Formats: sequence, structure tokens, C-alpha cells
Amino acid sequence: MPPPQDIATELAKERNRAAAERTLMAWIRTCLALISFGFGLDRVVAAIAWAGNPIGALGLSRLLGLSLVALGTYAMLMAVLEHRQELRRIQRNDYHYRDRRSLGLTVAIALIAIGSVAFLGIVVRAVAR
Amino acid sequence: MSLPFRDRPTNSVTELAKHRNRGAAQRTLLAWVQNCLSLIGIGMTLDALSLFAQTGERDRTMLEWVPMTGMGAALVGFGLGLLGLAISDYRAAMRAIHQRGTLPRSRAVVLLRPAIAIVIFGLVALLVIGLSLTDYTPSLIEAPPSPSP
Repeated sequence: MPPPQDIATELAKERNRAAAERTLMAWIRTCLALISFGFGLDRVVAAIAWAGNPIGALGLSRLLGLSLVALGTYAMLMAVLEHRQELRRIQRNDYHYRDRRSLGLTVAIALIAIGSVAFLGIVVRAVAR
Repeated sequence: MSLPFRDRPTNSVTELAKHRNRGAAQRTLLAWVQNCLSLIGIGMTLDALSLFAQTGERDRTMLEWVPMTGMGAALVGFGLGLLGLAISDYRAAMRAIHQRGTLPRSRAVVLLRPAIAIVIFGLVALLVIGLSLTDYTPSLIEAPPSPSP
């Protein structure tokens, strides 16, 4: 059993645990939004195609919707793994903060890439008309 | 000469506080991701609906593709710009935790930009809807056909 630390450190660990839980819940909201938007966009495209429109011009929208779903699923999986690692790390008595790869930054950059493709798609199609 | 922030001796409480700061910065970034995702997602949906509006023989007055495509592109571009600002803020906060130890100056003014832009977007949407409704007005106020004798 590890030796007990002072009360300030133990309370700080409890604050960190609660903060990590809030971060995980923020990830759940974000990934739910990503998956919902991706799924919703795909359903809108499917409904338009069902109404008798050719799917060709809508292929990019469908691809972007699926990309959002894939990004949301990947981010949720990685967030859960990262949360478990964080909990293990802050339980150590010799905890020392280290800079690590940020999943939030990765997801934000991926969303910028998806959004840029969408923006270019809209502009190119409007110009081509 | 004082040591750089990252090389100064600290205790467990300070190290755990840095961890909490990182988590708080990440939650802020995620909140921005959610807002920008809403803007980008709505813009993409408007674009998909504009394709629906321009095909087939149907009443296109309310689903005119030009304003819908323009508004869709504007929303996506606005979301991308805000997300870029949020990433820049997040990186500044991370640099502050690792190197300087003092948090960056508050950039609350950044929050005003989306608020102003959303108000402008709402006014443009009202204008577009209002102009579309004027096309319907004659038919709405058209007198009913008189009964044949």
C-alpha cells in the first residue's frame, strides 16, 4: 500500500479526478454531435436521392457525413482510453506533469480538414454552374 | 538569474494543478469544436438542400439555390475561421502552462465576433425570407374567382 500523502495533495487528486470526468463528458457531447451531424447529413442526402434526384452531385455530402461519423467514433474510443490512462497516472504519488499529444487538437484539425473539403465543394459547384 | 518555468522545482499540488489546467483548456477547445461543428454541419445541410431545390420541376421560390448555397458556404467558412481561432487560443494556453507559467491575456473579445456575425447572419436570413415571401404575396391576397352565373 502506498504511503499516505498530505491532505492537500489528496484533495488535489480528487479535483483532478473530477476534472478528468468532466473532460470525458465533454468528449461524449462532442462525439455525439459529430456522429449525429454525420448521420443526419447522410439521412438528408438519402431522402433527397429517394425523392428522385441523381446521387452524383450529392456524393461528396454523403462522404463528408460518413467522415464525421468515423471521426466521432474514433475520438470517443481514444477519449475513453486516454481517460483511463489519466486516472492511473494521477494516482501515482510521484506525479509529474508532462506535455502529451492532444486528442482535442487532433480532432479540431481533422474537422478543419473536413470543413475545408465541404467549403471547396460548395464553392467549386457554385462556380461550375 | 531565474530558471525557466518548466525547470523550476515544483510540488505535487502544482503538478496536479497543471494537469487540471490542461483539462480545462481541452474542454474549452471541445466547446468550440461543438459550436463550430454546428455551423459547419448546418452549412453542409443547406448546401445539400440547395441541390434538392435546383433539380426537378417544383416551386423554387423558397428554396432558391443562390441564397442557400451562399449561406451554406458562409456558415462553413465562418465555422472554419472560428475553429482556427480556437486552436490558436488552445496552443497559446498550452505554451503558457509549459513555458511561462502565466496564462495568456484573455481573448474574450473573440467571443464578440461570432455574436456579431450571428446577428448579421440572422438579419440576412430574415431579408432572404422576407424577399421570398413577397413573391407569394400576390397569390395570397389574390381575390377568389367570382362564381359563374
